Amino acid sequence: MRSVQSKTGVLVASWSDVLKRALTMSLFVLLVGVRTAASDPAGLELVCPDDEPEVSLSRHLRELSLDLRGIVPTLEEYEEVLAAGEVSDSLIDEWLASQEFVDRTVRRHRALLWNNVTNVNLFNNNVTLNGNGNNTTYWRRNPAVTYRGASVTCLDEPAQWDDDGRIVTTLQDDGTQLEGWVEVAPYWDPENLVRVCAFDAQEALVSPSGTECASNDGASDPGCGCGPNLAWCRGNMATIQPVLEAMGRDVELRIADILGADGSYLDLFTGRVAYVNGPLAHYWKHQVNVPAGIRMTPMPLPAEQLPDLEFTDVDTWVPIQLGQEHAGILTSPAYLLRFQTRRSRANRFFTAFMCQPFQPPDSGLAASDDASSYSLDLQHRDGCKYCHALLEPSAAYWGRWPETGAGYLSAEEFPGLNEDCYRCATSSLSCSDACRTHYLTEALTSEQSPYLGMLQAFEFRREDHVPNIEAGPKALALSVVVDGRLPDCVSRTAVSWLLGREVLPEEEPWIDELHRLFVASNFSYRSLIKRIVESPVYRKVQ
Amino acid sequence: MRRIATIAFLGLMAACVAEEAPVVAPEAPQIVEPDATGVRMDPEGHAGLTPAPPPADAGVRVRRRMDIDQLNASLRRVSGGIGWTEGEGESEVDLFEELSDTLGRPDFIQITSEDLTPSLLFEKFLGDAARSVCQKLVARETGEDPGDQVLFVHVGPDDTLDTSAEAIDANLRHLLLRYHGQVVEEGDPGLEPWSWLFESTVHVSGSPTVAWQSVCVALITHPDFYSY
Repeated sequence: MRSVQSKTGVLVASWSDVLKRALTMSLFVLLVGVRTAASDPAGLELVCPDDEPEVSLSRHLRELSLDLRGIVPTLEEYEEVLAAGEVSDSLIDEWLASQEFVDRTVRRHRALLWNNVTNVNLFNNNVTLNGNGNNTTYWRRNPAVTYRGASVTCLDEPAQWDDDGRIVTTLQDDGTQLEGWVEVAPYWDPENLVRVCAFDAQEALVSPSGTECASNDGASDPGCGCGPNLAWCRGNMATIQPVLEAMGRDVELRIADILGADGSYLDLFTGRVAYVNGPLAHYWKHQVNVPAGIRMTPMPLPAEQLPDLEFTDVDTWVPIQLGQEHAGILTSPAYLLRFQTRRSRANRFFTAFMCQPFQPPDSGLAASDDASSYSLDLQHRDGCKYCHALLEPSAAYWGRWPETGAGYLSAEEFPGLNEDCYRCATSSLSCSDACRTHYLTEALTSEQSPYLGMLQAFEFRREDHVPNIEAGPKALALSVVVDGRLPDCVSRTAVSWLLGREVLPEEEPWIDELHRLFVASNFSYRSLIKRIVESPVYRKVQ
Repeated sequence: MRRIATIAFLGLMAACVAEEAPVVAPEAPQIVEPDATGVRMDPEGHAGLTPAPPPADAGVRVRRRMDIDQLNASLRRVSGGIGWTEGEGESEVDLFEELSDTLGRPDFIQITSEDLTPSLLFEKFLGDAARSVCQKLVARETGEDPGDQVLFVHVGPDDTLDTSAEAIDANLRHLLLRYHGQVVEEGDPGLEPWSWLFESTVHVSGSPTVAWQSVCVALITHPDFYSY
C-alpha cells in the first residue's frame, strides 16, 4: 500500500487502489475465461460425455450374435470371448455356418421377396364346400342347381342307391330332388369322417358324359363330384392355408439350401430345384385345374416328379428338379403370385436386387404433348416413358410366365405368333380360351394391330427386346451380374441391413471393395457378411 | 480539479495496464472472441447443455431395436427358457407371435417394412412381457424345482444388502452381463443404479425376492437389453 500525504493524494491513491482491484478482478475473470474457452471451446465440461462409439468386446459379441444368430450370447460364450480378449475368426465362421444364420438370412430375404401369398384365391367357388361336415352336411352351392334343381343342401339322412348304382333322390314339395349324405374321409383330415351330400361326394374322375371332373367343367355336370376323398374341393380356410403357406416356404427352403451350403448367391436366380410338401403335392396333382382367376397351367413343374405324399404331410419336403426355363426364386410360384404382372415382377427385381427402384426424378416429369398422351405404348407416352422405357423390356423377361398365375408357356406349345389366334383376331371366328388368355386378339387402336395373334408379351416389343422373352428372367439376372449392378446392390443392402442405415457417400469406395470381394468369393453371401461384421464401422455404434 | 482527477485517473490506468502487461498476454482478446462462442455466458447465465451432434451416422452402425424374433429368442435365453406365453400345454400361446403384427413384424401383404421403432406400444408390451417372464422366473427359482439358476446365481432369495452386500453386487454384475452384455467391475459406479433399485425395492416391499423381480423387469425394459 502506498503512503499518501495530501487529500488529493489520498483521493488519488484510493481510486488507484479501487481501480487496481477492479482491474485485477477483471483480469482474473478474463484469464479464467480465456483458459476455459481455450481448453473447452464447446463447453463440453458442462455436459455428459458422449458414449464411446466403439463398443466394448462383450457388447460387440452381443451385436454379432444378434445379427448372425438372432439371439444374445450365452454366459459361457461371453466368458470365453472375454478370456480370449477378442472375438475369434473361428467363432464368426462357426456362427456363419450355423442354422441360425441361415434362418436370419432367410428372414432378411423375406423382406426382399415378400413371399407371402396367403391372400391369393386359388380355388373356383364351384369347388367350395359349405357346411362343416358334422352337424351340417358338406355341400356345394353352385352345382346344387344341377344336382337338385335349386341351390339347396341334401336331406339329413344316409344316401341310397338303386340297382343301377344311381343315387336315389326324393321329390320335395318345392320341386327339388334331394338325396342323402355319405361319409367320406376328407384329404385334409382322413382320420375323421365327415358327412357330404352324395352328389357332391361322387368319386368319378370322368363323368358318364365324358367330362373331366377335376376341372371347372365338372361343376356343371351332375355326374361329377369332388372326387376321391374330396380331392379337388376345398373346405374351410384350414384346407387352403397349408397350400399357400407352402408356396412361400418353398422359396425360403431354396434360399436356405443355397446359403446354408455357402453356395453361389447367383443360384438364387439360376437354380432349378423346388421343394414340395404334402399340401403342395396334393394341389399340383388334384386342384390345379379348378382355378379362380389364378391360372397355374400349363404346369411349370414336372408332374411325374411330384412325390407320393398325403396332404397332411406338411413337414415333409421333397426336392424336385425343374426345367431349364426356370430362374430360381424369380419363377417360383410364390414370386409369380406375389407379383402377378410382368411389370411388377421386374419392378421388384430392380428394387431388391439392383437397388434401382423405378421412381420419377425429384424435378418432376416433363409435361405431356397431346400426341403421346394417347399412346398405349408406355415406352413412348410422356410421363410414363421415364420408367417404362426401361421397365417394359425388362418385364418382357417374364413374357412366358403368364400374368395372374404361375404357369409356363413353352415356345413349342405357345409360339410367338399363333396362326389360329391371328386368324380369329382378324376375322369373325371365335377365339379359343388359350388365344384369349395368352395372345393379343383385340386391337383397341391401330398401334396394336401389328401385334394381333402374338403372345401378349410381344406387344410393343422392339426387335432388340424380343430375345428377352425367350431368354427368361435368368438372363436378366445374369446380365446385371455382368455389369456389376447385382453384386453392388447385394453388398449395399447387406451393409444397410447390418448397419441399420443407408450407405453414406463417403462409403462408396468400401461398397466397391465389398462388391469386388463378393465376386471374387464366387458370390459367397457368407463371406460378404463376414467382411462387413469385421469392419471397424460395424463395431462403432451411435 | 475534476480535470486533474480525470487526467490522474487515466494516467493511473495506463500505469496499471503497463504494470500488468507482462501478465496479460497481448493476444488474449483475439483468443476470446472467436472461441468463446461455444460457451454462451449471456446475462441469464445460460449455456448449451448438449454438445453439437456428430455428423449423422458418419462411420458408425446405428443402434437398433431388436426385431420380435430376436427379442423372443433372447428373452428365453436370458430367462433360462421362459417365454412370454399364455395358457399351458397345447393351449399355450406365444404372445410375441400373437402380437407380432402389432409389434412391427411385416406380413409383406399389408405391411412390407419392419417397424423397429421403440414406440410406446412396444414399450407397453415389452413391460407386460418382462413382468410375466420375471414373475415366472422368480417363482421357478424360489420353488421346489429351481433347475439351473439364472437369476439367483450368487445370492439366495432372502439375502439383503445388510447381510450379503458383496454377493448382491456379484449377482447384479452377473445379470448385467447376461442381459446387457456389459462387464461391470467390482466397485464400478455403473452398478449403483441397480444396487439402489434393489435396495429401495427391499425398503418398500420388505422382500428381496420382489426386489430381484424388479431388477429382472428393469433389465429387460432397459434399452441396453432390447437394442444393440
